[in-house]
Amino acid sequence: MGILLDRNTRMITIGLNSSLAQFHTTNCREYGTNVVGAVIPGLGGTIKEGVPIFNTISHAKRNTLASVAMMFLPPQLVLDGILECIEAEIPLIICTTTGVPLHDMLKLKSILLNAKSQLIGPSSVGIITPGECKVGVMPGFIFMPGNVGVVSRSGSLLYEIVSELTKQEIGQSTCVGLGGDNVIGSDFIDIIKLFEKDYATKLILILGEIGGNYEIDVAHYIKKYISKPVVAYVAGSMMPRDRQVGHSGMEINTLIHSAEKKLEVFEECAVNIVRSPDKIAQKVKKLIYDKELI
Amino acid sequence: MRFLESDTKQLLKENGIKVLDYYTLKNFDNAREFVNGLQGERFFLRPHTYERGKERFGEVVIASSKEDAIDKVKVIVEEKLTALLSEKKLPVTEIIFEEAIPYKKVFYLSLFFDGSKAKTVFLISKRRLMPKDFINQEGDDHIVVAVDFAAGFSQFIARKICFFLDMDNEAIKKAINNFKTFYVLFLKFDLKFLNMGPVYLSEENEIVISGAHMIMDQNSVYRHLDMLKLATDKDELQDLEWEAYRNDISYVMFDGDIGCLVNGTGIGLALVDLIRHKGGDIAAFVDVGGAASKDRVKKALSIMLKDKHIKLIFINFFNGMVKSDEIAEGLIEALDVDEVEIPIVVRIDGINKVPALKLLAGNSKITLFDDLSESVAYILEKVKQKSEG
Repeated sequence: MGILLDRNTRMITIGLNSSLAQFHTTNCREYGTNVVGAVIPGLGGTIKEGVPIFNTISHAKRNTLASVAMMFLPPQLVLDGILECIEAEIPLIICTTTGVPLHDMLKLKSILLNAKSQLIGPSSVGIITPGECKVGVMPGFIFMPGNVGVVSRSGSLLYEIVSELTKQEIGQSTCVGLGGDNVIGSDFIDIIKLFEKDYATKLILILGEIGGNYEIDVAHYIKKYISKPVVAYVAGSMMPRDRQVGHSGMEINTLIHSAEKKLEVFEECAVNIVRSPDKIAQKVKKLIYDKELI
Repeated sequence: MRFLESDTKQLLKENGIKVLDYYTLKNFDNAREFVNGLQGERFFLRPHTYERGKERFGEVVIASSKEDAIDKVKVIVEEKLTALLSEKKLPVTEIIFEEAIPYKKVFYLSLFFDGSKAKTVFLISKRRLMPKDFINQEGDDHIVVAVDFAAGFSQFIARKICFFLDMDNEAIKKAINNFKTFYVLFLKFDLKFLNMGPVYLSEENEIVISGAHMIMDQNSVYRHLDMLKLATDKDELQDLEWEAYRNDISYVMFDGDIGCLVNGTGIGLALVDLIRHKGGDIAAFVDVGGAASKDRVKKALSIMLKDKHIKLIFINFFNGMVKSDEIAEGLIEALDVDEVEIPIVVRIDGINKVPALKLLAGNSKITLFDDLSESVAYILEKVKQKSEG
């Protein structure tokens, strides 16, 4: 169980030529993911490390019935690659590339509205349904099957918190890294919608950060439509406000909501908030026992 | 990438937008001479300064004669400049003089993007200060109009803005093309932010820009390499921050004593939350990103070792994309080259954790930790000891 990925998932890799892509494709296969092919234009018909190669994505889809594509293209080629996936009607595209141009993403977002594909990322670390299937670059051994659905903007924060959950023997149904860019293919709402319907997920954990409006939007959505308990943490509430850091689109910092503001909105919308990252696992554990979720 | 007002206005001008001519007064003792050399009788005076390389402007002051302008210069310099959204008073370094034009309206106009809706957004405000939660609400003094990427710019968008500003039909006809140009420029130059204000609607029904600046999307710079020389990002960074910037490392200095080296903004922000919740403070936030190579990690640590503000370095890497042992090699190479006088605490986890720990174990310059809370407790204790002893 879990969302988006399970034992029946069939994965292809887009851009297997880089050593990074090869390493992570092998890694996914070792975790148990069914890797059915890869796309490298010009090398179609060959086999690389046991994986059949195709020239085009639609050819790969037709021959392998792939249900998810893991993308390792350089940022300049991502627009083209995702358009090709959409044309081939790949149901789920997971893009790990960082540094995709903003206006390429704006264009893609409007196209994805009418497409049969769902995009996760860019700069996503991927998705994992522990014990069943992993598509992405995350270290598989920190995850454990269970009942908490985790969705995070940042990949590194996801690892940190999940590894703490696993240490406390709190397993996860599915973990999703949305990517930390300004414009992303799927947002919190797209994911928690699925968690709400998923039988294995008993509690939802949201890991947000400063920048953008995604956390505010999901807070209002939760209030209206989500019946399962939700825990939320927003990284950066102790950050001095007048400086910009990292990749979080902080440049327009007078135009965005602070972490503190996001936490306030979560609280107003009856979400359980956590202010310090070392208290997250504790809070989740307490809720599980108090509400007898498992 | 950030561009100065002068460069932004030049770009607007080249694209057929009317821009007020301006003259810059830098030496306030020469105000009389300067003003007497100007054409015209009435002026807009705009106090101007730089804060860490970022341009800051004060409220516009109107002078009705040359004598008045000379008096007002004195007042502006004495009163200093109150930066937008800040209480801070900054000394004025320059005053920009523009010949005052008779105008019907003045307003503020920004274009940016709304990430969650993936649309380009026009924000028009009758005030200089924007309300904090403006995105989800419309108010009497501001309006938000979103442009769908697929549909592109359409005339109704301009009409909506113009009617909000109570322009008459004559003015609207002329303004539509201007608004279209703003949108086209936003796309053409891969902008993240185009901010204009004050913008005047002249007696002749023309839109005239007084202030403007823009920010280009960092990821799209490769499409606009000719613009690179105009970018001002260097000016707002300290030397070490700039060295980091050139190496694709995000390096931000603060006033505390702990330097954090991380591979991802999310985990970095969480660390800052944790450290500050426990009573510590940070000196530098250094993010190499999740896809950082060994060399970038090495560079980041070398730069941190040069930063004299840092009393302790905390390295926290949870690796997925890149293998932990590669990261560890980068760290060791940096430590081997440089003299190390401060404590370094390392926590490394994720893919290939075991070989990484093997590489790092026994290195006398570092202290290894496994648990996050434990390592933070140790750091705070260490910093306390240092400041006491």
